[in-house]
Amino acid sequence: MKVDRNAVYRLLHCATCAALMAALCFAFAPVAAQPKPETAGPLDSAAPQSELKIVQQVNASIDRGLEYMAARQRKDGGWHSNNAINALAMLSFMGRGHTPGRGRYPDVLEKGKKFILANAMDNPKGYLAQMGGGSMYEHGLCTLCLAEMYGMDPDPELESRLRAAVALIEKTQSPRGGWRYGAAPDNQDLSVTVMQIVALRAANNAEIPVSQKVIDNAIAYVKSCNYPAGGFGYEGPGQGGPTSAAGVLSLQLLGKPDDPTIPKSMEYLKTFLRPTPREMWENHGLGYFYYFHYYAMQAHYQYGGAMWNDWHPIVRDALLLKQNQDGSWDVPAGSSEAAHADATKVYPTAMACLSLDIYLHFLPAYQR
Amino acid sequence: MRNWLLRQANVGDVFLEHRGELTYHAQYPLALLIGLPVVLLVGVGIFILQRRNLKSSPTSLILALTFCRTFILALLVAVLAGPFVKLETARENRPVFALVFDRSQSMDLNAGPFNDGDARRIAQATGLRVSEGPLDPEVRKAINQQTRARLAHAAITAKRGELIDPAGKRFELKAYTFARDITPLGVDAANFTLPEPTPPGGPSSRIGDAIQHVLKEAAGRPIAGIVVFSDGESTGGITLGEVAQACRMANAPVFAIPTGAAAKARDVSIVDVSTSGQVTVGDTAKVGVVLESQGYDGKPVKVIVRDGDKVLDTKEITLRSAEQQQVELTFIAQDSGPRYLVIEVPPFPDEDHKSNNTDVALLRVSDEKTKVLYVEGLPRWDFRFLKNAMRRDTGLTGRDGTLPDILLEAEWRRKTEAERVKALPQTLEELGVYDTVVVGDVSPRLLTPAFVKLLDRAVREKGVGLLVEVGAQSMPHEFDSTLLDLLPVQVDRKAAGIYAPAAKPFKLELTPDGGLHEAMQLYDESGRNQAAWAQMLPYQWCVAAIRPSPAATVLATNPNVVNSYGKLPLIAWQPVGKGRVMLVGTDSTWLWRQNVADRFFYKFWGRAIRFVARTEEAGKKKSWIEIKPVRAQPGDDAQVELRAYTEGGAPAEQPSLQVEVTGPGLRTSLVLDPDPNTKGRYVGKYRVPTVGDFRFQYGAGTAEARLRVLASPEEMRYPNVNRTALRALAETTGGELVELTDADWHQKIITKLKGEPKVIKRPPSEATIWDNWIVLSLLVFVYSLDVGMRRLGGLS
Repeated sequence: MKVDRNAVYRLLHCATCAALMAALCFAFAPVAAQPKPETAGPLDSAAPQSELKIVQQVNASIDRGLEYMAARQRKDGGWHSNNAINALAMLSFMGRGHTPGRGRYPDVLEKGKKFILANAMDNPKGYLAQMGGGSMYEHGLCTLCLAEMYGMDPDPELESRLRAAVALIEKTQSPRGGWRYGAAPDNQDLSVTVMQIVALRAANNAEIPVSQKVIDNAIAYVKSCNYPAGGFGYEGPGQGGPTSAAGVLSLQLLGKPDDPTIPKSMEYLKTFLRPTPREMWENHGLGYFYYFHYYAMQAHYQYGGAMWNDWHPIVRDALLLKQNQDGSWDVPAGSSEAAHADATKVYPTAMACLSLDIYLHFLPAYQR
Repeated sequence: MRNWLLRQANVGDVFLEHRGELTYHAQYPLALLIGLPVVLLVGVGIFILQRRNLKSSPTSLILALTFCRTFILALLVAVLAGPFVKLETARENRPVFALVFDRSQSMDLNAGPFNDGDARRIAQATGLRVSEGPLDPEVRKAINQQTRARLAHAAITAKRGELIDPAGKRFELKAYTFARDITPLGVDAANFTLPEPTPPGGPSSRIGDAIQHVLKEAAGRPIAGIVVFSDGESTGGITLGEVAQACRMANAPVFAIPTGAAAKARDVSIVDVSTSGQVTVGDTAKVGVVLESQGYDGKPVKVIVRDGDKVLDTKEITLRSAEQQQVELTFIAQDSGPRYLVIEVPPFPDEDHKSNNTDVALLRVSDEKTKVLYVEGLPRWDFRFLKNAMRRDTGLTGRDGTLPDILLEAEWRRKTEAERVKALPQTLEELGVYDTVVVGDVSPRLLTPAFVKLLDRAVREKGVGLLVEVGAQSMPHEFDSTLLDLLPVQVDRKAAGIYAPAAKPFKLELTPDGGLHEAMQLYDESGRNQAAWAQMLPYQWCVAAIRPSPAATVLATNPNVVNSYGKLPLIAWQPVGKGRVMLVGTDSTWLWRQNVADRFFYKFWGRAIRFVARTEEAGKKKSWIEIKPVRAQPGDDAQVELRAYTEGGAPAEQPSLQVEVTGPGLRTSLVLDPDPNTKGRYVGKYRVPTVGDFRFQYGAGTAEARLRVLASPEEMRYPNVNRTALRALAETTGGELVELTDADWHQKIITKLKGEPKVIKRPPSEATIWDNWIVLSLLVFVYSLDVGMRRLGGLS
């Protein structure tokens, strides 16, 4: 048999080299595969989708706000002795796309839900206001919060408590179609009513049956608060920024986006728009700054067109401008909400985040 | 002679080329050291012995015989020592220095307008001589009106001596141009000349792809720097963010040179158009238009939507340059078929770029409605958004011809037993009424084995489309093989999905098939479509898919989960019997709503519902043809799908079919190949050659589809130089944004180029020189000589 010695040498040489390389590779191989680096967000804006740059700015701001709130959640899952504020905090997390058990804050919502349910009065049955006080404000916001969580969290208790809460809202509707502070069908004002309407809309969106009669009565009550020149009053025909924004939004969410009362009310809301973000913050002329903007931002988005184009950049920039270094927000001077803004600043921070969440379109209750 | 000997020794070409550098060695030098003296002594001994024995022979013969034998012994000793030649070479490894020139259409725009100071500096940067004092108007005009591509060319040519020559001595110079594809320029650092840029430029700017190509070509060699001359608008391929990270990992700094003025052009641009996608005759169709403007603050403009010459709607808007503005136009859809809508904003007389004031959108108007059943478990967010969008979609109905039929398991559980039984169709006929069944995260309590079997038959026998969106509760891991066999992916039944690490959520990656699929077309332009998918928010959970089913077409993958079959198939479809089945492997498509609400979310779902829907109703089997996408750029591939039926309604069975293609000055035919999985389905690709409207006809016009080819509207959508993107790219990589208006712009680059040439010694090569015919012949010859001399000398 003819043996090509060159070939043998080459083979041996190659084999040696290969073994050596393999050994070297093995010796110097990383312990774990290097993770693929995440892309840097701002670079992707070279070919922006509509308003992509704005959304990146807004997301960064909300993330700081959420980080602030997550750090202030107590071990028991609550933030505040008022369940309305706990619900707002949870809604602001969901509005940024955080859902129970997943992502960056897997436990925040779960703990928050447990706190609300554990501390709810449940008297009358389904009442979610916190023990030792509370009102239908709290109940409406907690119901909204649970309704948005429902389906993303398969907890059977969440479902049963939510259904009871919705039933309570239906039961406590006043003969005029509204709701008031107490869990009883004896009185009404537009402010409390809107909270219940948004909660009912969220529940109904989750296919929880809501009586059409309740919806019709609610529409009738909201319309009864309309002022002929535009706007909505607190307990009857009148005006006022927060109640007008809430009135417009409630009609939009109740399936009446083309109601004839809305265009004039939108014109009225325009009187609250200031030319610059700073003026929007400093000269807002509002008793309830965050309450107003939470509803007004949604109402303008639902209305769309030039009204939305004019409104959102100023409000957004005002909020971005006034965010604190630690991610929180303060209550602007002149707003009566200072009473809710304790040292934790969870209320203004949650409300600011919720107002900015409008760009993300994640909360189903606000789908246009 | 030595060359000849080496060749005969069969040492190889490398040794011959470097014969001056060869050294000679022995494998066993000890054999030589000991053997040769021994051979010498043996030679002396042989001589003495022969002289004693051969007294009658002359001394010369004895000497000759002694020499022969000694020589043979010496040769054998030499062979025993294993002589070989050795070659040791070294090469110079020089870091790569790459010049990358954008040659897309937007680079044919004017580089200006520059202010006087910048114009003077640009003139100096490009080697123009300008005198002191006011700038000559002709020079200013020439600078402002030269194209961006020409500016890049002039700048690099002018700095040849200061940038290219010194860099070329230290580094390996490479140069490329790019638009959609990357073209290497054969440049020589010692004699550098750059080919003149010839218009027109290419149809898209894939900056990321071009830079990645440089990284790949370097093949692990160090990169001193990549100089990118571009306007910074990337309109396709991998994103600048991704390539910047890749450069940072490769330690390759990018020096981005914006080729164009910082001043923004006076311009109104339609940057985005969206439509309802599909409507039914009589419905209100919506067209959303996003505008960007510069230099016309407070001025009103009209936004017009037309179908041919017919104006469908007009809206007026007051321009504001601070950010993009949105307008919604509406009209009643009256004519069925694909409607090519033209959206335009009449340009201002002094607008710098008028080509981006018009865009096109496709609206499909059908005169039939799709019957849909949607079954879901809990009201998760995808369900809520989807059922609302479906209820608003007037092209969808339920069994009774009004709204789509929707059944939620959470509510179904609360019904009485009698109501529960009636909630879902009980017979094949009842289920076969639907064109599409959408199944969410439903449990086997609602989708009983009996119903799943019915569903299986409805898909296979009736052609009902099935669209499955998976979920962590039940779908599909709680179901048996009847349902699993329908799915276009094979799943791990033991796992209720895969959760992403919180810090590293999953991404969605479009496959080449997905890029062409109608359900995945968020934009008609392929580059923009790919970018839109790449920018989707990451998600936290996906189905535990193992591999695609054999007949499946994968539209999107999860690149974060890879097994031996490749990336995890995330969205896929397959034909099953007469029907189609599509699987959406995540439960978080609501994330696609970020910033755009229902637009992308329902574009996907609305099209997916229609894609899987039954299209072959008895008695209605007419041939049809479809082109995807409906809008393309020259050079794009359009996918042609033909469903061909005979006059009797049976699927065509020919081995191939032809469609006639007519376009501007063009009439040709395209051969389509049969789809082995679906009778009567023929597919093919058509590379569109030029701008214009193309018609694809089959069967003497019984089936027709259209394709509109535009000269890259993407390129003109954002005509300004995007310094922000270029700066971010450069700074992420460790390079910097370099302005041509800096007098020492080239110095900024040359001083920051990394690395020096390194001499790398190659491992030595060796070749034996004893095992060849010369040694053997020499041995035989000398031995024969010895024998011959003995014979002639009369010796025994």
